[in-house]
Amino acid sequence: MSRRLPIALAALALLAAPFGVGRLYSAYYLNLATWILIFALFAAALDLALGYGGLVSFGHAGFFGVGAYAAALSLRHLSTSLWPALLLGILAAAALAALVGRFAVHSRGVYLAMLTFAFAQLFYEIAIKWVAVTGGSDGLPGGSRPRIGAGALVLDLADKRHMYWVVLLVVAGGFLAARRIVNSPFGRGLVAIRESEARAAAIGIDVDRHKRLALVMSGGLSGLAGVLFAIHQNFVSPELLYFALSGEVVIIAVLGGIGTLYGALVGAVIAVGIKEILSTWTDNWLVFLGALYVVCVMCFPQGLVRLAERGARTT
Amino acid sequence: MSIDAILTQLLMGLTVGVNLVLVATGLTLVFGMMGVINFAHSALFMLGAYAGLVVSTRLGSFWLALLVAPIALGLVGAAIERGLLRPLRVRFPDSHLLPLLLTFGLGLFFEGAAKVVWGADIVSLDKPAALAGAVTLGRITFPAYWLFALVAAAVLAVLVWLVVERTPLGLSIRAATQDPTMAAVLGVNVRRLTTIVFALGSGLAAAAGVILGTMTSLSPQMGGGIVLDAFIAIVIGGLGSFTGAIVGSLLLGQVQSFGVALFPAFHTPLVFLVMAVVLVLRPSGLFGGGARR
Repeated sequence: MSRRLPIALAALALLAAPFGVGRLYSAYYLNLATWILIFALFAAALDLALGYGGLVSFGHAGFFGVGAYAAALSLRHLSTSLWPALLLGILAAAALAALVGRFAVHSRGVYLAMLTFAFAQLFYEIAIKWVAVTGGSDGLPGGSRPRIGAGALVLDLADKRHMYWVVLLVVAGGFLAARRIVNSPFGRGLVAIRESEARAAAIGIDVDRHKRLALVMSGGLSGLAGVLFAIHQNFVSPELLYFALSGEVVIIAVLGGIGTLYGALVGAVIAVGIKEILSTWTDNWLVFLGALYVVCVMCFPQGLVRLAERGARTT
Repeated sequence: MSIDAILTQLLMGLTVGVNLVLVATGLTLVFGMMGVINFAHSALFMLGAYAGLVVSTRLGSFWLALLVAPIALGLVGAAIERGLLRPLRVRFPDSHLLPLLLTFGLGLFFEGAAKVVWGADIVSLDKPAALAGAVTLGRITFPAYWLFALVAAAVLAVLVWLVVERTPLGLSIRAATQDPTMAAVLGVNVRRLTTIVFALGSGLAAAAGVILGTMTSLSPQMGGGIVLDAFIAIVIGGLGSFTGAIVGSLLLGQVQSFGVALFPAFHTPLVFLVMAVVLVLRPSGLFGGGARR
């Protein structure tokens, strides 16, 4: 009861946020909140592989970007409806994750990080070179954003408030799915593998299969975040596949605290927020962002959520 | 392709290959000793090129730039290892992720700093007048600067090879890259060696930065492509192996050179294809020592 109430209030506040636009704050902040939610889902998806499976991936931008491109291409050539874009984005990213998993699952630690990195970079190159389909380095602009629903209840995603609601619901669904996975017997097995592969194998856990599945689920959820990104930005470009984004999402996850899922939300608020503030304040935000990452790693490497938990315990 | 064209491509591939050796050496030795891929390596390469630019415009000598830039960046590398990486490794000896993130942040920081100091635009580093024009080698004509880039990088690479393979210091380095713990137990001062290797790798990357920067042009993002190639080269050769880095780099140089000539649109995927084939046949690379990590 005491834990349910704050969560319910927070959910209500998040749902009601669009009504404050124009009265309490400008549409800019709602837009920022949408970005934060998308990156929170992306970081939570990474956390599934990194924090629970111990799979150090440095190529998650590959899954995110492939999801985004699949959605953009589906909206462009297949149908202007949201659902095929959503489905194709998730499937394409999950399929890529399955492929990467086949190659990478035997390697550990840095080897895995490097292989995932190389795969993502390969897709980055393809996105740049295969101009006919991807638009090359200019990217692909979207058309009109999809509408969903029927009759009196129509959500038009060109409307910032409607977009926010859809993103909020999809991201919440993504988080619930991730939590369900983590708390399932499969998730427990994954944690057992993270703690000791040899022991997990000895008690009969199929290590390879668990890792591959974890990567597929993580990739699929990253793809989902990519779809939301593509629709919200109404534009996809090769930067979505670039390793800088892979690094950024790892930073977001680590900043919040890996192995916590909801740490992703904390990390996204801080990382996306700071980046936004820095980029409006100065053109040289890259210097400050880099310095900030270094400071984060040196000063609170276990993440803010863990830091807060420890603080709460000692007081 | 005619014989002449093939010879030209071979020579160009060799030029790229030996310069890749310079970049890859630091990556692979640091990986072998610390288990870390240094994501700031591309920034060190880039800073080396800019340091060369500063020296050559202020002092008017390309040759001085080629000498000063590697030394300066070697010191920067040593400072990074001592000041940041070591404290992190003392606190979290088992984490692969934190050093990776640290070097990633450093890379962004340096890239941003270069934009602040030198601007985001492309600038060029002038080649010495003596190396302008082209030279004729038997049946083929080759740009003089390319030939210099080939020879200079090859000389440096051979020097490094001699140090690593033929001196007591090199013996310690090889021992420490294969098994840092065992090397330490046997009396090798691995801490000191780590600083030396990091400085050496940074200096070599800077030297390649000056040589290749002069060949192409300078921008804050210039390091990304070549370090990615060097990374692929050491994955092909086997992460942590010095011999592997050399063989992988030379192989990749040829794949690139002929790839560009034969399949202009798809030479980058070709490089990844070669890597994938090698990894499927030999999961730890051509000279990889097996499943230590």
